[in-house]
Amino acid sequence: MGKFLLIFCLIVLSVFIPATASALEADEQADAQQPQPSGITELQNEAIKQQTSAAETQGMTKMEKYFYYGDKLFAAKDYTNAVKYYYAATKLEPANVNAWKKTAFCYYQLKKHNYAYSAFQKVLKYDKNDRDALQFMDFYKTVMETNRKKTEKREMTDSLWRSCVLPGWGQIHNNQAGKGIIIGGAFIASVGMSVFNVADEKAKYDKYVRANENWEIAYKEAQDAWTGALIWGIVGGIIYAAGAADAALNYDCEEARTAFLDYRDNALCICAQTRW
Amino acid sequence: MKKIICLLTVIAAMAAVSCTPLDRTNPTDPAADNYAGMHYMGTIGDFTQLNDFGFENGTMWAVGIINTPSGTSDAIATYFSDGSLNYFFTSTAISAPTGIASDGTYLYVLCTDPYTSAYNPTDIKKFSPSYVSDTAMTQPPNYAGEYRYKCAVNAANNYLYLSGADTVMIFDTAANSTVAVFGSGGTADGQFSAISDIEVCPDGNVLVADPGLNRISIFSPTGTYMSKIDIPFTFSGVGIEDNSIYIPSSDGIHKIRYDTGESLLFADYGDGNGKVMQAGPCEAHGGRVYAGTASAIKVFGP
Repeated sequence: MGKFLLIFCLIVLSVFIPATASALEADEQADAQQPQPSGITELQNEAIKQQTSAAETQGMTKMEKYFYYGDKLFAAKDYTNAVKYYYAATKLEPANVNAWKKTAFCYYQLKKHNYAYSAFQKVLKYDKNDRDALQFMDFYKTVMETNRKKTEKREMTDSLWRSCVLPGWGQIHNNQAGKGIIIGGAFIASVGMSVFNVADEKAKYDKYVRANENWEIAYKEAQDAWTGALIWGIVGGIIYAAGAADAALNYDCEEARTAFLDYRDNALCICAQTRW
Repeated sequence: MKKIICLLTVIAAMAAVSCTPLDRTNPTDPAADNYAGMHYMGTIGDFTQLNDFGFENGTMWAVGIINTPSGTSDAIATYFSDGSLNYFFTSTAISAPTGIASDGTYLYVLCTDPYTSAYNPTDIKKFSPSYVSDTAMTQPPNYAGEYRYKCAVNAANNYLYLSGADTVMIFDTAANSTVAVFGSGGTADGQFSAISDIEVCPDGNVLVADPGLNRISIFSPTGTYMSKIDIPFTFSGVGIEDNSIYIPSSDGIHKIRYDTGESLLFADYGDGNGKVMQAGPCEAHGGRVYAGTASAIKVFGP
């Protein structure tokens, strides 16, 4: 009976313990979208052993030791091994913001940005105001926007109709903001000048029609205003047509595929990198 | 190449637009499609009070209270063809001048100074146009007790017609004597109420303007009544040339052909000096119409 019970317990344990371990591992992966750092159950890294004396870690908790070793490796730019310690620390203390942050930055240095992005999401989960995480998220959002722009499907009609509604809008839609502002400004200015000249011509022509002396002067003034109105109208029409054509032709230009970079955040991101 | 073609197209379009004229639709503008036939040409003289004016061989003479560089006084003035003042004469011999006429040889100026003579209140000053001076010959009209304000000359028979309030005197300038007086106060044909102007037609007949009866009466050279033209508006002076009578009024200048009755109104439009808005002395000469206002003479031409 005792042997039977012992065998039964061993069977149950052999089935339950691996199942539990597998479930935890899957949950962690799904939760943080992280690859499992492998083999960090003890201080097995020979390099760390060589660099670290027992006295240095005496009295530290296990998590503090992981952090300590991670920092040593990070300083030595051994990001591949450093991330294992940091990530192991997050397993011991999931709400530790610094552990997630250092994990994220190791992945950033390793150019595993999808992992870094997930780790920064974890940072923000526990501290939504973390400045470093916010800066890096901005950076990643910019990168993602750039990638989206590069791959998005663009239609000529999208640029064309915008330019037809308001000259310059099509260029702005094509990320040619400078050109768009110039075209829009020139169009508005030419239309304004045309309207002004039309009103001026009307007043001067009425004056001519009512004049009973000096007709030539009055007529010439009205004629000049009329000519000005027509010329500005033509200029406005040319700007309108040219703007629409330009917007249509450049609907898929290089600028249209480029996301606006937020240089402020980018600069902060670089500062963060330097500090780290 | 395409850019050059586009640029040239734009330049051509702008040039075409620049050459697009506005409609000229002003009836007083000689270049307009709807031109009325007469237009304002300018102004002559500067008067405090313009009484009368006339022409002597194409030269304009005016009488009244004239603003001259030396001041304001009763004067005779003559003007260049561009309307600027040529010469003016002031003297005690020229006192209250009301009328002026010329037969091509002499100027006749009526002076109605009431202090001259109660019996003979109007003097006819006769000048050689080349020598207007104090030595002018005075020819007193031999008609007692009536002022004579306006005058007209028929060079063919040397008759000088002098209009009073309701009579017209025919004065022979060659014989220096009165030939006849015609007309009287009344409303019948040949009678007058308030004569304002007198003109000699090209055919020698005499036109007498009578705003008091709203008509112009036509007489033979010797004063026989012939016909009349009703004038249904306020008027004062009249001018005549080529069978057409020109009458300034408050609503412009009326042109009436007295042989056909055809009428035309001009100087009645727009804003500016080219509008006549009051009755006054008038002359027609050389295809142009001269309408006097209180301070100047407006000139209209085709």
